[in-house]
Amino acid sequence: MRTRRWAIAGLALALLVGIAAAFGARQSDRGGSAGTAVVGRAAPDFSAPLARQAGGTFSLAAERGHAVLLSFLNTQAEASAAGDPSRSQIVFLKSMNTQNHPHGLRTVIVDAPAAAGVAAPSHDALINFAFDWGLDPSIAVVGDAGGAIERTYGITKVPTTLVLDRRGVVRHRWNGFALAAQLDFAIRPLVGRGLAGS
Amino acid sequence: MVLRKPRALAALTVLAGLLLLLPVGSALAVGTSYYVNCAAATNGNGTSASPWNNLTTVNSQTFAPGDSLLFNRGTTCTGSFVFSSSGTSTNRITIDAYGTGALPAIDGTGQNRAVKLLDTSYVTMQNMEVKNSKVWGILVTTDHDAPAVGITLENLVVHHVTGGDYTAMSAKWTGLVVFAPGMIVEPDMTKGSGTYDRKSYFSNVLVDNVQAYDTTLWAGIFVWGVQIDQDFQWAKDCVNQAIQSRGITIQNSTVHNTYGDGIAQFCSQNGTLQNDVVYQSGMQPSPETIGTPVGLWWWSSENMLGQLNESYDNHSPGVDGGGYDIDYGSTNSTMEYNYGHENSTYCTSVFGYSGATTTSIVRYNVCAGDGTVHTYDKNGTITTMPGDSEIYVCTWGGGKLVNTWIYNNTFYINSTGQSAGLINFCNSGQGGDSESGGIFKNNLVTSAIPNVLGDVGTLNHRTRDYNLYYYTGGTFTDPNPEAHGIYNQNPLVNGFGYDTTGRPTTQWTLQSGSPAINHGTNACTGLSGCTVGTRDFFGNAIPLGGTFDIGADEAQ
Repeated sequence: MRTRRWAIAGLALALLVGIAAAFGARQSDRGGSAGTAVVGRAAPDFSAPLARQAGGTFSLAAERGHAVLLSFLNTQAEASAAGDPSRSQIVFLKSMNTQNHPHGLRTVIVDAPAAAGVAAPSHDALINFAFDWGLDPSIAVVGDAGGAIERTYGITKVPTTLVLDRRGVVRHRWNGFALAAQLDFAIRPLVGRGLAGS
Repeated sequence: MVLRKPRALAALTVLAGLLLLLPVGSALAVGTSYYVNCAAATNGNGTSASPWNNLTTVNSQTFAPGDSLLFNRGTTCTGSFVFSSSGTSTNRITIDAYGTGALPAIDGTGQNRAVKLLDTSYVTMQNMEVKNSKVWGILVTTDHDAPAVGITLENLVVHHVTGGDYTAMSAKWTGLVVFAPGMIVEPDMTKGSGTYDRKSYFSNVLVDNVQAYDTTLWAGIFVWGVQIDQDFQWAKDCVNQAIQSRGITIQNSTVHNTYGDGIAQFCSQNGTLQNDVVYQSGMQPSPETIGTPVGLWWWSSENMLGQLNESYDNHSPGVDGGGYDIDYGSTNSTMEYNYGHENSTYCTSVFGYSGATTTSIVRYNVCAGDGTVHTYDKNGTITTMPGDSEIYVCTWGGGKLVNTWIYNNTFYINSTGQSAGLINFCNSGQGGDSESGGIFKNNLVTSAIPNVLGDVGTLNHRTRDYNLYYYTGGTFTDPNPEAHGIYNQNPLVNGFGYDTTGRPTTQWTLQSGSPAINHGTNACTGLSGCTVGTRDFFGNAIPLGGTFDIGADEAQ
């Protein structure tokens, strides 16, 4: 009996530690009880510490009035000849931000370790990620160590990318790699740019 | 002590619970980490508590498989970093950064090269800045008889390589990031010192997220695939598949402001150039010295793929200055899903010289507004720039083009150069030039100039059909009308033109009711070994609605 209690206690301890780790995240959910962010509905708000040396907090609610390009990535994705879609997605996100930030677009990268099946990076590692990719300071990078944002948005694979309109409504969602042309099509109308070129 | 079974079970349960908390993918450390902090006041022993503080010390070390050599973020080491150790396929050596903040830098001021990776295999170099050297930013080379295998360059910024000279043996294999086996040309850069028995090449190389810019030497990211020696036989050796470099991927990288090429692979096989951006290559002022720069291309290579790239605003002090190029001596090449615009000359070329260029596929690309420069200074004489069209198909010196398949591209022509138009065919008329098995189908062509097709004097042996031609200024008359071609109908696209910067693009997608919808054909019909792929430029599956559309967009 005593040994059985040991086993139960051990299992309980492991579960408690795991639960504590899972809920120890600094992110806070505000809404999104549906569990996913679907096209046509308001994107669940969240706030999280910015991965910047200067600190600060990102709040999705504070971006109302701007179109938002929101991408869940594996920031630790290793380069491989097969091509990691997270790394390629970063290239397209940078391009979209370069073209559309002057027109009001806000770009947010959320590290998504749960969907990627990896351990969450440290806050310093996320800061380094921005340096390693030469991200423009206008691109916000946040972590999601406890997976709270991922769960709220129903993220099951990386990359997953959403485009929100100025009211915070999800207009497009790609569960997987999104091509530059697809992103461009979604973003342009929301930032007041036509489909025609120069 | 021997645990009784229940207690052992309890202990294992706890252990299992704790293991669950370990990072997924973590592994027991292998090898030793060595630290470099060039801002440290004193030179240490390479530990984290007492790092080395200069490159001379670092260069004298030998590293073992599994080791890491870590440079402190936010600091700069001056001089030249030379690394010659190798890992194994299971225990790579990693050259990386530690700490938090800006990339650690190697400043090669006054040095021929800031970084030299010599005779290395299974090495990853990542998260560093390399700058200010004279001839090479990063030179990866060999001086041994074996292949160099498994080299990865990742998350690097390489810039400002200026002040060196071109010489006879160092002309094109200079610049920001250069792979060149057997190139031991220092210190005088004219004569090698190695054993050149042609057994050295590169295999399984990955370049990912490298930002390379600003050089007055030749290239941005450049692979010379065969061993270079002093006998000038490189042109012949280049197509010898037994000694070519292989499995080289350059992706997610950006190159700009080079005097010569942007991204190029020579004498290689099974290479991939994808998701890259190149602009303002070929910026050497006139007159040209060593000539022929292109944004993104390969030469004398086999089984090559270029896809999802953007190449724009590229130039040349002489000929070329295009966006993409499948150059002579190449076999089984595919250029697809690329965006080219506003290049001095062509968007894409296919060349044949002194032999065959075989099975070149150009499909689902968007090309717009190329041919922006019409003359160049050739040794003091202003000369017409050839190829200022969207497509430049050229043979000379007995060159043969076999199976050049150009289909489902979208072209926008507004160049006003002498050879401007959709295609500049360049059959030199020299003996032995020929083309066979070519097709030009399902292409959507919109032109702001009346000479829509360009040089049609030499049609060669290429089947041209199922294309749509639209001249925005009036009526276009095809001297050799296509049986299924569509003429003088507005293609009803979502905007003509292009953006001056940035990846594609919303233009050139088809509106409902476009005559291009469902009026194409299976371009591969009747062509042995030809498959049309699975999607269009915009990511749509092909075909939709049962029939292929014309152009790079499959609308429905």
